[in-house]
Amino acid sequence: MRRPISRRTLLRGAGGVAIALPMLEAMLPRRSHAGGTADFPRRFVVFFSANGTIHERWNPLGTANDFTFVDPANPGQLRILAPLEPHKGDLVVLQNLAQQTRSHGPGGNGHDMGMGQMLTANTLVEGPSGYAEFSHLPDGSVAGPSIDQAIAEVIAGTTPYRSLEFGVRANLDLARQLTSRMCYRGPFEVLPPENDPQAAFDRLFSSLDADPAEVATLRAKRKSVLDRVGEDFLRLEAKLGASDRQKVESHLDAIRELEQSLSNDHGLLDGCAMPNVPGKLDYNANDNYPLVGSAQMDLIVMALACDLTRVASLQWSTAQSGVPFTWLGHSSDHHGMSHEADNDATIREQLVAVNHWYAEQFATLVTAMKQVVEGDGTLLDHSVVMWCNEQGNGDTHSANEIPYVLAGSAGGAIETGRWIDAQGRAHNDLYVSLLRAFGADVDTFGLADVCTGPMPEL
Amino acid sequence: MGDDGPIAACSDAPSPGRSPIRRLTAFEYDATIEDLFGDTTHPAAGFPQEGGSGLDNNAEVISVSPLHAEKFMQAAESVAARATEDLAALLPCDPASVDDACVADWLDEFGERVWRRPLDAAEHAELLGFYQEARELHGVTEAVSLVLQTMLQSPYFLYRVEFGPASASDGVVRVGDWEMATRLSYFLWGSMPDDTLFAAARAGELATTEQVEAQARRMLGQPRARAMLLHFHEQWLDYAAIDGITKDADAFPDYGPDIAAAQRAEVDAFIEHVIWEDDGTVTSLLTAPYTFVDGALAAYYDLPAPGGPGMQQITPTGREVAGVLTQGALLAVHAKPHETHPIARGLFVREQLLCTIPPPPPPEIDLVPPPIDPNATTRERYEQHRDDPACSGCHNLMDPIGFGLETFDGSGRWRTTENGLAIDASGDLVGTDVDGAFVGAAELGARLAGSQMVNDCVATQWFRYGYGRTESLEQDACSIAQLREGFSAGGFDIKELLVALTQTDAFLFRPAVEG
Repeated sequence: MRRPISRRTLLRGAGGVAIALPMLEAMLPRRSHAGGTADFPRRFVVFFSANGTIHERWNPLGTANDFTFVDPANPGQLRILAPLEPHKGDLVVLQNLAQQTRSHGPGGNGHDMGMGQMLTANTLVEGPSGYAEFSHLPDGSVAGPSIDQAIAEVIAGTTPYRSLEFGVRANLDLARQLTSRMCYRGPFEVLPPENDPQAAFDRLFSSLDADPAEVATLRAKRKSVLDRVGEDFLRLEAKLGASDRQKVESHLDAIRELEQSLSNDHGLLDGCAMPNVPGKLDYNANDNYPLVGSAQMDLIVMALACDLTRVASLQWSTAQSGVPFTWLGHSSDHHGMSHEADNDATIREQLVAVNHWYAEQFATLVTAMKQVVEGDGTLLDHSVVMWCNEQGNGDTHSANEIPYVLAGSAGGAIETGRWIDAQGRAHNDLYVSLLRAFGADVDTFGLADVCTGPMPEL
Repeated sequence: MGDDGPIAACSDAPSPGRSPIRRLTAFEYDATIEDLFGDTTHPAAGFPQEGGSGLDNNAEVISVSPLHAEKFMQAAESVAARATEDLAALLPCDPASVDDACVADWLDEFGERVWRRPLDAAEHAELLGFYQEARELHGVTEAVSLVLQTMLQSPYFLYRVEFGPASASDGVVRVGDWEMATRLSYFLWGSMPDDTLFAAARAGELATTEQVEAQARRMLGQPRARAMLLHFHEQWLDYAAIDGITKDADAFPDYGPDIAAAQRAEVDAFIEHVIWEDDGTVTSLLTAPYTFVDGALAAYYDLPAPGGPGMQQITPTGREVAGVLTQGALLAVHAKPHETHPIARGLFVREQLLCTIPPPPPPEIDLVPPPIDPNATTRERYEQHRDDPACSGCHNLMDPIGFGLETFDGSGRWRTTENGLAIDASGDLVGTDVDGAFVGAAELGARLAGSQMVNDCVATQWFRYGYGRTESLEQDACSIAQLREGFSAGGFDIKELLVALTQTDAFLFRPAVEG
C-alpha cells in the first residue's frame, strides 16, 4: 500500500544503503495549484513490448470514433486490447505506422534496426570498427536522440531527473547491444534502464523518510565532492584528444546533472505519495517478471506524480525478447513463438495471450495514472503514455503495420477516443505530432527524408 | 613473438591502431575495490550493464549516463563508509591523533594506489585542502571518507588515463611506465597493479618489450588471472545466461536452478582445468574428452556418480564429449526453453568460434519454422529451412552445424532418440577452411580445432578483449599478423597468446594525444 509521506528521524545510508539523490523535502510547502489543469506539468511515458503483434486480434472493431476491443459476435475470443476497453475514451489506437527508416542507413537485422529506430526514427550508424556489412553493427549506434529525450528537452523543466528509464529484464545482449537499448541522448549516448525496482526506489524515494537536517548535510557533502570531481574532469578534458574528450565530457555532463538536482529545492505535488517498497527480489528471475513490472510501474507513477521527472520509459525485456511466459503456462519463448505463430494455431493463441498480457499491464499503468488526482483532472490527463513495438509482425520482422497505442491527451492537446489507420505513414510523423502536442515547433523528427509533417488526425 | 622472421604486414614504424580511453568495467571496479580495501561487497553489482561487440569492455561503445554517475557516487559513498569504519587500518598513523602530516603521507601512499600513479604536487595540495575544509565541518573520519569519495569518482580512478611520455614522434608514443603497469594489470587480472608492478613502474622497468613480457608471464601465475580468464570465456562462449535460465517444466521436469548452477560450475571448472591444468590450447577447449560433475549433475546427465564431493573430473563413456561444444551450460543456453535450437547453436559456432556473422534474413520474408510435429525430430522440422531457396543460402551456414549437436537436448543432456526416433547427428560445414560433412559433436570439435579460421578467431576475440575495441584491418594488420603467427607457432596455447598480446604495437604503443 502506498502511504503518505512521514518524517523519520534516522537517515539511512551510512554503511551502504543508497540515499536518494533528489533529496525530497517532505517538509517544504506543497506546490499549490489553483485547480486548473493548465498548471500541472505535462508528462510522457514510453511503454515497450517486443516481437510485433497478431493484427487481426489486435485491431479494434467498429469505426474510427466508435470502436470496441471485444468482438460482440464472439465474446469468448481473446482479443489483445480487450483489457483497455474501459479506457478506450482515453486512447488513440494507431494502426499501420511504418518504420520507413528501415530502408535507410547501415544495418540489416530486423530486431537491430527495429529497436534502434523505434524511438529515434533515424538511421543506425556504424561503430568505429566500420563493420557495416555485419547484420548486427556490433559496435554501432543510432544517428540521433530518441523521442522521449526530444520531448524531455521541451518539458523537463527543473525536475531532478530529465528522464527516468526503467526495465523489466531489459538485459543487455552484449553481442547485439542495439537490440537491447532503447533510449538515447544522441549517437553512442545510451540511457540504460534500471532493472532493479528496489534500487530504483532507493534512488528516487529513500530521502522522503529522512530527517531534513541530515538530508541537508548529506546534500552539502555530495555537492562538495562532485565539485571537486568536476574540476578533475574539466582539467583532464582539456588535455585529451577529440574522441576521448567526448567521453569524458559526457561524463562531466552527467555529474553536472547530479549537482543540478542537488541544488534544486524540490517541493512535492499534491498527488505525491510514498510508493510501495519493492523489497529485495531476484529481479532477473523469469518468474518474477510480472512482479518486477508491477513494482516498476508503481515507481513510474509516483516519480511522475511527485514531479521527480516528466519523462519515463518502461522497457519490457528487449527486442527479440526471449522471455518464456511461464505464468501463462507457455513452453516456448516469446521470440521463438513469434516465428511459429503463422502456421501453428496453438502457438498463435499463445502469442495473442502474450500481447493481451502486455495490454493488461498497460491498463494497470493507465489506471494507476488515472488514480492520481491533479486539480480537476488526473495525472493521465496531463500525460501521453505510448505503447510501442519494434516490429509490425514478429514472424517477418515487418517494418510495416507497427502497432501503437497512446493513452492520455497531454492536457487536451490530443483528441482521444479514436482509432486511426495511418496507412503506412512514417512513424517519424507521429513523433512530430507528439512533439507539437508538447509544445515544440517542429516539422520533422529523426530522418527528415521520410517525414511528411505532423499526422493530420492528431 | 614475431622473432622468427619479418611479418609482411609490419613495417619499422609502430602502428598501434586506435587507443580509446577505457573506463573500469563493473567487473574491474569490483576487483579494484577488493584490492584496494579488501572490500568484497561487489559495489558495482548494480551498475548499468554495458558493452558491445560481445564484450563488456568495448571502450568505444560504452558511455556515461546520469544513471552511471549516480551509481558511481553511491558506490563511492558506500565503499568509503566501510573503509573508514577502521581508520587504524586505513591511515599510516594512530587514528586517535590524526594530524595533517599523517593525512598528507596517506595521500602520497594511498593516492598512488587509487589513481595508479603518483599524485602531482597540485593534486596533492588540492586533496589535502579539501580534507582540511571537510575536517573543520565534519571531523576527521568523515573528512577522510569524503576524500576517498572524491578519489573514487575522479576520472583518474574510473578511467585508465594515458598520455605516454611528453615527446612524440610520428604521432605514436610508447606507453608510459605507470600506464603500462595499468595496461598489464587490467588486461591480465581485470584489476589494479600489485606492489611488484608499481615498483617496476617506479623504477622505470616497464619500458622494454622484454620487461613487459616478463611481467606478463609472472602475472599469469597469479590467482587474479584465473578470474579474468573465466570472465573472458563466459563472454566469448556466451554462456553467462545459464545463471537463472528458465527451462520448460513439462519438457525438462528434472531441470531446475540447482542443475543450472551445477552446469555453471561445470563449465567454469572445465575451462579452468583446460587452461591451468591441461595443455591450455584451443584444441583442448574444443576436443577434451572430459568434463566435471557433482552428484546431482551426474544424476541429471545419467552418468556414474563422481568419486568425491563437489565438482569432480570425469571422462564419460558411451557418449560424445567435445570440450566446450558439449558443455551443458552452452547447450542449454543455445536452445529454446522446451527443445533444442539448431540455428542458435550453429549461429554460435559461426559468430563466436569462426568470427563470421551470417547475413540477416531478407526483410519481409516469412521466417516460419515448421510446426511442432510429435512424430518428427527437431532436425526434420528445421530441414524445411533449407528447402526454401530464399532461406537456404544462409541457413546452410548455420543449421547443419547445429544438427551435429542434436544428440544433446535443450537442457544439455545426451540423448540418442527424440520422440522415439533415432537422432541423426550428421552435419556439414560450409564456407570455412574445414568444409565438409561430419557426424556428431566430437567430429565437429576436431574439425574446428584444426581450423585456421577458428584459431585466428580466438586471437581476434582476445584482441578485442585485451584492447577494448574491435580491430581495424588496416591499422592493426601488423599486430594481428603477429598474434596469429605467434599463436600458431605456439600450438594455439592460450596463455602464450595472452603474453603475445602484450608484445604488439597495439599494446606497447599508443597514438600521441593531440590535445
